[in-house]
Amino acid sequence: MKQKSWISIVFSFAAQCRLKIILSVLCAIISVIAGLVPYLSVYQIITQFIGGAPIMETVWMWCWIGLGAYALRFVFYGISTTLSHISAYTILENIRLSLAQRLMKAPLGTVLGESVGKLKNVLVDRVETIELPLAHMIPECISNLLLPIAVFIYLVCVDWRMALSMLITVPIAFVAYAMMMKNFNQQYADYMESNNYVNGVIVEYVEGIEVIKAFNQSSTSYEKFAHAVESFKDYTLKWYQSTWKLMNFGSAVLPSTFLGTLPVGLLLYYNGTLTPQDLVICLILSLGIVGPLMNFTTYVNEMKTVEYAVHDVDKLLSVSELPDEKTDVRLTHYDIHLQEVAFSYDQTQENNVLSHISLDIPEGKFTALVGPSGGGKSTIARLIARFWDVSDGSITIGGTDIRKIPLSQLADTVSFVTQDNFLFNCSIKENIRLGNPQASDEEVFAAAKAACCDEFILNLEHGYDTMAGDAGNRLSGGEKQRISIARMILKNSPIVILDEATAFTDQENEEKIQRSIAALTKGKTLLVIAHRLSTIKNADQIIVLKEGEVQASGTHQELLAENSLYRDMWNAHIGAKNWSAGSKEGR
Amino acid sequence: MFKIVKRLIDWTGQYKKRIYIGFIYAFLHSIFTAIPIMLATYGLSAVLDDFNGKSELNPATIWLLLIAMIVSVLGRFLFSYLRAITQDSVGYEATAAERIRLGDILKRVSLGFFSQNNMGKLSSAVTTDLSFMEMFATNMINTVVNGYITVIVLILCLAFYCPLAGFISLIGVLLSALFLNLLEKHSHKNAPVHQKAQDDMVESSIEYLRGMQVVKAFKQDGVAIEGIRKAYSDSKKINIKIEKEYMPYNCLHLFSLKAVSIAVVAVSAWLTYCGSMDLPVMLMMDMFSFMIFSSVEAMNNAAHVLEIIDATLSKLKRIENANVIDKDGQDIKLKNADIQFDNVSFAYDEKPVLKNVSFQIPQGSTTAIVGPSGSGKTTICNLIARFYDVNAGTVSVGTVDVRRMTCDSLLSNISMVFQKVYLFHDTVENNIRFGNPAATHEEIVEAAKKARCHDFIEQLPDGYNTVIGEGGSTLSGGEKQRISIARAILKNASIVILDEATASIDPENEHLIQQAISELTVGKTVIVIAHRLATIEHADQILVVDAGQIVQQGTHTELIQQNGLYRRFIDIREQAEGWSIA
Repeated sequence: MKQKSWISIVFSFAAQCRLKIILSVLCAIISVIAGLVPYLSVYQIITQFIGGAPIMETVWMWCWIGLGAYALRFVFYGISTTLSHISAYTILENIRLSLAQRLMKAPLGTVLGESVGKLKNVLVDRVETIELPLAHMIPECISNLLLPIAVFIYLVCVDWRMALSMLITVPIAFVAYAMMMKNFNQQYADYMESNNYVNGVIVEYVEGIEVIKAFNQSSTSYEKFAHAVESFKDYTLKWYQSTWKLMNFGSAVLPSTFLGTLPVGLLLYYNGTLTPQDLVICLILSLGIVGPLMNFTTYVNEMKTVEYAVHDVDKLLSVSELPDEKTDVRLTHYDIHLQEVAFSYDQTQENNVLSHISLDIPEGKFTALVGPSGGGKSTIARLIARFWDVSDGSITIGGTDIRKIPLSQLADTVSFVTQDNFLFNCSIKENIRLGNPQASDEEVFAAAKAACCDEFILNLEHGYDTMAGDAGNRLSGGEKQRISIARMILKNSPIVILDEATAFTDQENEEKIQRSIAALTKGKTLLVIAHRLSTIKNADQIIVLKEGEVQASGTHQELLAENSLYRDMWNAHIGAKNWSAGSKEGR
Repeated sequence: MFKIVKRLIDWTGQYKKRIYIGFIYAFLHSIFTAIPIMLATYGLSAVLDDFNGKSELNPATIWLLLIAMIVSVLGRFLFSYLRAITQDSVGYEATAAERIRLGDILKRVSLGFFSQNNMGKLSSAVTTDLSFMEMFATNMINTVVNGYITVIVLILCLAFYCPLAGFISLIGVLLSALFLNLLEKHSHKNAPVHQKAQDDMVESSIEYLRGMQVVKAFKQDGVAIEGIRKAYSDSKKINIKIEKEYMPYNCLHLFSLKAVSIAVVAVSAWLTYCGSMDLPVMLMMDMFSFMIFSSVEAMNNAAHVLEIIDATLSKLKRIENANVIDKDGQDIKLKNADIQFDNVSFAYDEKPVLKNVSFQIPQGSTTAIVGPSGSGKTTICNLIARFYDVNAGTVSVGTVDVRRMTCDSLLSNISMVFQKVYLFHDTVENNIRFGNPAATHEEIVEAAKKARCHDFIEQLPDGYNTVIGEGGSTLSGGEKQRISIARAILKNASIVILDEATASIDPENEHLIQQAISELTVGKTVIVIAHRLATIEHADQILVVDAGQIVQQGTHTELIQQNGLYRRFIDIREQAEGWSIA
């Protein structure tokens, strides 16, 4: 399938600056026309002299006209370029914003599946590469095309043979460039690949330096690094060297328009069909198109850059949205029910992470999901929070399919405790209050106390009014996490999901986080993805998952008696708990 | 501008000579650029002589001119090609040399250097920044120096026929240089402003992406988009403002050149009128006036690029000047694995992290270090491995001051197991062999068995030859951890430094990791940053660290009877480990 052309993608972001772009192009055209006037001036001056007795007043007049035309040319050039830069930056801004908005509407799971660094790279760096070529191409491409055409038409009026002779270098250079570009795409892709490889080796070398040093392997790792750098250089140079002959040939021929105009002009004069004045102006004008012709060769390269970047952008923009309902539904119960749920990340049956699972999570009860990693525990939790939609089957809350519940209402209903300790750039008090915008100050303080963060907040310079951004560097990960738990306590949503593996990141303050989580989960429909079985032995219901299927469910005692997988896990856990580092007995 | 170009040429180091030879080719090339104009003059003068009836135009002249034109094009090609092969590859070669030089420096500096300069910035210096140099270094030298060489050659041609016109042209070049200089000053001034706008945009984009989940949970989509909208629009505004500031200088630079070319036309017209210049020469002047400055016109873009190059060169210089930590070290074979801290004080910057710390760790014992976060536990381990040098006091291993040894000889005695596992993009076998390059395949399998990773390695598509991170071979956190332990087992160093995790990255397989660690630590001198009660209770010695000092020291049975930090710490740990929801 043919991809959408990058030009149409770019211009779809140019809506609000269409006028500026048109103006910019118009100014560029005026600037080009003004730039032609000095050629006319010189022509007039030469005519004065060749014609016999020159009148100096006329000569001076044409000099002033030429000078004025140049002034006009650069004024309009300045306006045009400024406008085009404004347009280019506006297009950049629009591209970035629609990327950002698109990502917000995409399934959360899809966004979280990409690394932040990679997304940021597209959002900021890739988009940035479009600016310069765009700002120059908008006006200059058109005017640079226009100028040779204007000159060509003029020369056709003088003598069509001169016009053709002026362009004689174009096909010659074109053949050279075409030969050079023959396998450009392939070469460029290879080049990018080897560039990525060498960057990968370098990044690995720098980031792994701690390990490299700790195992005193600096010399061997260094050899690998040096080898990668050398072979990348050799590869690149080989490619470039193979193009140098043709490229330099092309750039030596293309601007040498005299190659055609000089002999042909003289010949035409000799045959008596061209006056000396016309010969001179033809020669001068053929000098004038050299610049624009050379510019065109650089545009070809720049267009490639823009094209690559725009396609990266387009790929992100075509991420599908999660369908959303508009009107809130009335939920009276908060039990969760999974009915024959299947899910795979790539929507194919072979790669199902969950295969037709059915289970009940009763309202107000504590349910735990356990089982070996890769069994689908986290996937279930994320599907309930609708990070993605199920591939098959349905998930209901209080009897209503979650796809019928508006995303914002679902967000109110389900709290997901993660290690993501994201604080907004407002005061700590307001950060907590986000959980419930109607809450009074007292309620905010109470939530903070319940989450064990009252104490350290009061130790901050401005207490609860400290800006989260300022305090950000001084707060530990665990402290930030407790603030975000306070926020969830205030939000008081009827369903709480907790992934144990990611919930405790700060082992130094683990016990405080535990207390705050206990405050959060009291009396809620609670779903815990458990790793340390001792944490969940009191659960009302424990569900054992293995390879995307439910193996067994029941209480701790029931499972210990009936389920061998659970019993093994429990024994391993107890054994692990009593193990100590440095002890002699290993097995 | 020339200062930066000079700096750039110096940077190319051993390749400098080729740059200078390239200048000679550039000079010859510009002569061939001027020749067509001379040929045109010759042809026109023949035409005018014919027109005025002085002498008839000989058809042979036309053929002569055609051949001469072809020769001039070929000459132009020859010398631009010669210049390209001598000069253009220098950027790539100098970049490769610089990368290798930096790689050598990075392996010899203290680890403190890496924590002071963030890793991302360091690797971007060696990758992105140097790629920029690769592409633009010789390009810029070519644009600026060869550009001026060309214009000077053309001015000399002009001056040969008419000194006055040459003089005027020179003024034009100087005038444009003045405006370029002003442009460069603005560019220099704006560079940090631009950089800040760029950094802000990066920062808010990252915040937006990272906060997305929370933003959605609290329905702050609108607010979040507002925030990022502001960052993007600020960046746009600043960029446009900068662009607007440049524009007048840019236009003045171009206009001054064009105004001078009109002046050349005017002067030659006047001189011809007065009879002191021949008409063909005047025609030549007119033609020259249109192309003489074209090599200088392109220089406005060079001004910006050179600013970036200047900043990049400074950044590279900073890395090159980093201190190499073990210049005066010796290779010493240690007699035993005792560790001793004697009155050690240390600070990463001004704030002291360790204050007068003294303790002894006898060979073969297990020492647990406990204490609140930020108390200095990790710092103690880093000082043993000499990732940093102490500010006062001595750290000795095997009764030898660590500063007397080379890093390599010290670290050959130490294995470290980090919480953050780093595996290389290489086969499993090579990742384990990293612990001891001389190891045989059998020894590697043996280490893998001890580290409890043999079984899962066998399950991988290519077994020990599976490349980590490639199709289907994604390993769980616990599996990676065990491979890193196998690596340490293979190294078989007499001292093991361990950063223990409570909440393991792979809780289901925690016991396998524990077995692997037990294999690693048998009979070794073990220092462990401990969080687990069992580990602490079984240690031969416990160091309780608080605010950079050792506040308690002894065995569990001794310390638990004292009323101090240790007992409180144990209480809290007991609570945390015994915790259950509901």
